[in-house]
Amino acid sequence: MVLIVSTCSEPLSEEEFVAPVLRIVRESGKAAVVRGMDEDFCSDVGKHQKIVITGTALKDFSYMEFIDKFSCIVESGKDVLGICSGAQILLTLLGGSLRRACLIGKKRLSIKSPDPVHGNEEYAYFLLSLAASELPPGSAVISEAESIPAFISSGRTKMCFFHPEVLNPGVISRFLGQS
Amino acid sequence: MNLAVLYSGGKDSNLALLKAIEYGHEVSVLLNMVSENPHSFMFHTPASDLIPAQAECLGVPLIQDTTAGEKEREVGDLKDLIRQGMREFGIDGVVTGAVRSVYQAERVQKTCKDLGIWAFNPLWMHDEAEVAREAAASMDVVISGVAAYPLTEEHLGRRFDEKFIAEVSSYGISPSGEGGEFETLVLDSPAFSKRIVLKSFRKQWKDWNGRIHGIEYEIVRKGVE
Repeated sequence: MVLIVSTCSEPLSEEEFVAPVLRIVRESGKAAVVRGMDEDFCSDVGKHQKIVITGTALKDFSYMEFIDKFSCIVESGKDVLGICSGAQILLTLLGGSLRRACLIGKKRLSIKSPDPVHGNEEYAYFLLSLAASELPPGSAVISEAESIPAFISSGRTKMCFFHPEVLNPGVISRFLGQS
Repeated sequence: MNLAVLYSGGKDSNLALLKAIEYGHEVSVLLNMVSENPHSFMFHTPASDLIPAQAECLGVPLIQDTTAGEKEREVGDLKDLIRQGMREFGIDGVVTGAVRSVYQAERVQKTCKDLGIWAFNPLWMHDEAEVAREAAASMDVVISGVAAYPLTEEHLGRRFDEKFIAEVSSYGISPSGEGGEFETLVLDSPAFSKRIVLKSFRKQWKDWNGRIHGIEYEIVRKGVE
């Protein structure tokens, strides 16, 4: 089972940012449960080996008020994939920092280091307004786009600043498949 | 929220409109851009003459404008159109029926960010067959344009239904026409308080491209024959 935590404050946005991720998870043959960031998702963490924290709309920053609540996920030691705002939450909790940036649309990725989840993805779709400024200790930039970190790995935690559900479903399926 | 729908009159923008309402938002205006360039990357409206009638059936005001359809310049025209919606209707965001086009989605997202408003794409990256089936099941839709072999002029004006979806799927064509293989026109939807009845239309057909035009229609109150 996969736990998907939504960072959307507007339910209509979940059609755009959660439903496509859920579809890829199901097509990978996995069952999933979806929780909102305002729900008690921490009590679900122990029941799932894989956790995905989804992205949200460019205009939506409500997740900033919930960052501390995601500590239960970081402390769980489970495999976690954070997508865009989800990646920003993980990066902050792991000790990194964010800066304003604007990266929207399909961009070429420059691979800096191999990673089995990232794979050889060449292009990705971004909806980014906050980018990594300082990396968390012990983490590594796996790929960049226009000199902005696009994918950061920190052990079992993967911070994906692009939206893999658009052009890179393989990132999600490889994340689900890794042991 | 108070939202505008980027409205083409086809199944996707109408389905997106239904989703916005279903999630409790108010659709206060329809925004429609008519492109003078039939090969526009951004706007496809083969039966734009009927959009005022669709707006009447929805009971939602319409702002309709034209663009020369020159690549990138039409994005500026879109921004002006949305700005007018903000000025006249105080919209907080726009809803689109984008399903797969990264080109369109990227430009709408950038435009909304520049204007400081929300962008909602409730069909984005959904399964194309599911989107098609949901549209066919919930609305009265006809084919208003075709642009892919082996679709012929016989398909023009045909109902967009399970039979059509199965037929185009058997040709390897996207069941939602995502590649511009066909265009649709919505005559009735759960959001319509009146419906459109087609009385007659002509077909324009050349080089495996066709569309309906010269449409004669009536607007009928639902339940009234």
